[in-house]
Amino acid sequence: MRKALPLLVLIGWGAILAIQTHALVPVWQSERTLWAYAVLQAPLKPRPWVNYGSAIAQVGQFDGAQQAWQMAVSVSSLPWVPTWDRRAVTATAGRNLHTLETVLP
Amino acid sequence: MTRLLGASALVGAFLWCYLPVRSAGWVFEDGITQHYRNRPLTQWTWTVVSTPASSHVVNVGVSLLGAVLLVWLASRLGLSGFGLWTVGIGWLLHPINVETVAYAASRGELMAALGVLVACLSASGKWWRLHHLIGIGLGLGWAMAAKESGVVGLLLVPLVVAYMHRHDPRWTIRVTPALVSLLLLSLGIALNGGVTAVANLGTTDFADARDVSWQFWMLHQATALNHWLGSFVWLRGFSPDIDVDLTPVLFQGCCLVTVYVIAVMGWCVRREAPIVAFGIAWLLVAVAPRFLVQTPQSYLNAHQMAVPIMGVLFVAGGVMMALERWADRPVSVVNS
Repeated sequence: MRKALPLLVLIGWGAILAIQTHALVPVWQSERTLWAYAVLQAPLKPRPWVNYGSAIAQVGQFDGAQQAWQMAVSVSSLPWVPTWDRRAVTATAGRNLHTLETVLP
Repeated sequence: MTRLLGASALVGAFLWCYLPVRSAGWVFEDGITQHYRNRPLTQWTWTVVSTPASSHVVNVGVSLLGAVLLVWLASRLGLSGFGLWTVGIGWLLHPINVETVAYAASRGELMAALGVLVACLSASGKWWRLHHLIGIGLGLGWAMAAKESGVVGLLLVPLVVAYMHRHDPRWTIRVTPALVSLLLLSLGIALNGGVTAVANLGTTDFADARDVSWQFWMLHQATALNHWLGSFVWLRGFSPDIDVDLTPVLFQGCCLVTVYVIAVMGWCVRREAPIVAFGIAWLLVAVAPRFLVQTPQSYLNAHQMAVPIMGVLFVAGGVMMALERWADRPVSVVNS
């Protein structure tokens, strides 16, 4: 048993890594899957919300996109968000929200 | 025969993991990266391989080639048996490398890693011989033409030389590459406008690196580094955009202290476990430029960890070899 321990550790470690990696790879399938995962991982960071909004707007989910961009603007006002992220969100999400308001009925 | 079967199983597992990338599209900065002019080699490859499917296949192929070179380098550094398998398995199957392989824009990072590995392999022998020097030069040139981060090769080559010749009494053999690297790095920094200009290379439309203090940058990068080291162990938190800003300043301070503690630990075990010390040194040296060049809109991310994580794999390989030695030790029987 003792002699087989390193082999067992290695096989077990490899199997766990393979399963985790196999589960993670589909996240990089598309913008939508990537940023949906990113907002789950970092829900209080504005950029993933901006990008998630843009990703779902590309497939026509404008209501969801509007909510995502509003979330980005809301999250960007949190005190720990750096100035440059706030500037980027104001520029991108703000512009997108304005466009949606003028385009959507 | 057993090795061949094991290697086939490993490659099979790797391909099984990355099968979904065949149908993946462009994501995040895949489009922008193709036009970066300061990465001539990678930019040229985008003119040859430019569809999403072929780009992902290239990343898978380059990653496999990287595994071969990394295991080869690990064996030159003294790892053997299960230690080498640990390095190979870690590189090919660890989820920390998913961003590097599945994100097409990481082609530059992967190609730079190949160049760094070739340079280090060439430096791991009698580096003063002409064909070794040519190998080092080609590797470093390849790495820096693939991505700016390939410059870490200039730091890692002297590290490999110092490690491989640590028992050599001739100091010129151990130290000359470090002096040449120091000269080249100083020249490179001077030609790029000095340290401040290099630190500000990451300025973007919204983030001016001049607005970032060194204290802020050190704390945030140290936190990001700790995040990835934690992710390596716990297999959690592999986000394309980690939230470092959310971390309290006190915790960020602890992360910076942890980086120093890791460095001190590496120094302390340099005689008892040289490969562990080397792996820690590799990790810290490979991330060092990321602490100098401030990229405020992007803290250290998973694909930027491609080269530093090799150091962690050397450490893991060393630990696995220690476990193997322990398992092979005869069990002592005490008679009453």
